[in-house]
Amino acid sequence: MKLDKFTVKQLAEIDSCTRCGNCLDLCSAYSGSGDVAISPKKKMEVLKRLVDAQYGIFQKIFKRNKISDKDIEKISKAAFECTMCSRCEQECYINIKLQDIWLRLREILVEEGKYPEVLDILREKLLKARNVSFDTNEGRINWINQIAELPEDKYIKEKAEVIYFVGCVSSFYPRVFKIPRSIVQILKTANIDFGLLGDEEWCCGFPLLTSGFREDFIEFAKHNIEKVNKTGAKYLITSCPSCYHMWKHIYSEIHSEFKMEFEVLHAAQYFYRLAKEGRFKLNPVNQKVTYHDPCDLGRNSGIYEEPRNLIKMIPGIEFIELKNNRNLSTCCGGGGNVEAVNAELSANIAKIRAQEIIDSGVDIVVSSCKQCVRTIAGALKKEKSKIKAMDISELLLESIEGASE
Amino acid sequence: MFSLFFWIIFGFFILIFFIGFFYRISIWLGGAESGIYNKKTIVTSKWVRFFKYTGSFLKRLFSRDFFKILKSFLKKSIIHVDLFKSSKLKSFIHIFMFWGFATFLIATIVYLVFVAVAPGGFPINNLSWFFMAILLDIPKMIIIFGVLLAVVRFIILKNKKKSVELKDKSAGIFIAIIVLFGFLYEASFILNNNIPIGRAVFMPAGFVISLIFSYIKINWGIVSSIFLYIHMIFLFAFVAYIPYGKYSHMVFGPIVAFINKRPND
Repeated sequence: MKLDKFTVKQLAEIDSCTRCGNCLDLCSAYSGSGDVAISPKKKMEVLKRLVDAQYGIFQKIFKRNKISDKDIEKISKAAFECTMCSRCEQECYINIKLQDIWLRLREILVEEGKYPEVLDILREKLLKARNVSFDTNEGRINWINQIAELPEDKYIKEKAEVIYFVGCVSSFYPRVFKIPRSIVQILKTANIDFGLLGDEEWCCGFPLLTSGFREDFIEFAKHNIEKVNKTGAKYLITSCPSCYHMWKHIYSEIHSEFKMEFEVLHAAQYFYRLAKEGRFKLNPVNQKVTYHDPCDLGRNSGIYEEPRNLIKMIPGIEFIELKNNRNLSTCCGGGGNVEAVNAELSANIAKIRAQEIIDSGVDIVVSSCKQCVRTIAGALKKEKSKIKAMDISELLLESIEGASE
Repeated sequence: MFSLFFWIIFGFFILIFFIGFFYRISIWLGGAESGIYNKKTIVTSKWVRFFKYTGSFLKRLFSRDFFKILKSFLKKSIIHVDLFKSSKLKSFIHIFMFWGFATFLIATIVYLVFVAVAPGGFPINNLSWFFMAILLDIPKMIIIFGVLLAVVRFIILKNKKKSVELKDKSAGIFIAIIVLFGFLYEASFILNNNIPIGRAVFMPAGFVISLIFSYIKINWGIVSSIFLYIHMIFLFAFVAYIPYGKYSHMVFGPIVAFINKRPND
């Protein structure tokens, strides 16, 4: 295994792990499976052992120990059954950037060819169709057909002040079509000059990056940045935290080659700005509401307060905080491609979060992520709960349109 | 004879320690230079990287924030404040074992150097004897207490929390041998030098064992030397072992924690 693909800092971090177990106690995948082998603590132990087996001084002096196939299989299972929520990092005494290590580990395993076969299908879909569904990219805009007073161009414009980057899940999964529709309605109400990329929108590349196919996502980034730059947009907004994370943090790392001439915002941030400016009237929504922090927006991007502040601006709402919130928010189970690799694990993780939501006694759980909304809604339904799972844009639209109960 | 043997052993194990320490760093320096998303991997020699990283580390350390960094180091790496906040029991176990061992290590090295360089060994009639006797004994008892607490915690919690385990049993065996032979040396030292009870009680563990050993009629001078050599060899061997084993976080953890400092640390 090419363990020297880890960076200098990551190899130092592997040696510095104190094995205190704080990460294990916080791990969503471990909570969902009870399997210590996929916990961060065990992964770090195994990585140290593998580094020793390959580069250790005793191995160099006496003989070089090869890493067995069984070792690689075990670490591969542990690496790909991780939701990449980065909750494990939150209470590390050494402040180890565990998520970066897990990402790099996936890349190393992909190079070795030791990764779940299902990810090959995902990659093929993405490289061919430029999206995560089995549909062609021409179908990316189908969700918009239900919108009233739809202009002829379906908002696909050459020039616009704001570009709404919809994301694959919102574009292709009917269960969450309400999200992009709500966003478009809100933008219309606020008289924003916005546009869509239509079938020129490619996947942001997040599934490729998190699966370990690092080289492939750069083509997607270059294409997307080029298309948005051409519109002359001042802002790019997206309702998907993973897309947001890619645009804001990952694309900007390669932006020296592909300069971005616009500000990137999550829809919740943008709508909060508009609400503060008084661009729309907010009517009462008399409900008990809680907010689930999406991992890629919260922990991985540091955005906790703006969505909360936006919700609290809506009159009539009784806001209740979940027990695990902000940087300690538990994962919904929908991230890291775990749903594709181990659907049962994903469902178990979602069940834990759903139970926490049920225990809070709320009527509605709001999130800023379509994936979180989808998985939490599914988990709540399985628990036969009447709690509604909504995206923040749906709640906002409800308030704007004057529905109160 | 002891003097020469001591310095050879000391030098040998210190060399082993530093070989392990720098070898480990050389493994790190073989890692990828670039960040995660950069396309190019810059290839530079390990020596160039070593000086580059050492330079930036020292520059950051000896910056305007030096005292802030020192305070953070003392709080986190020495007093383990974060550990105390998250689990008081784990914190006490760690403090007993870490501080017990650190104090014991320093006191033992001072003692051994004194024995090695002073013609008559450590002065028994001097006031410093009391201080040294306590420093050699009490930390060992603190280590044992810490280990017992860890074992009890493991037995109680192992089925409830998978994060609880007995780490690195080989290190546990090392420490047990060091502590045991330390006490045996004290006992044989007391018997060989006919240390009066008034002074011997300052090494309580050694004193109790000496009461048991007093019934055995042998040359305690030779026996105490053997115990001292074994104690010394295992102590230095353990320190030399640190960079190679699972306790490497003791030396590398503070370095990485400093590099990974969070903004509000």
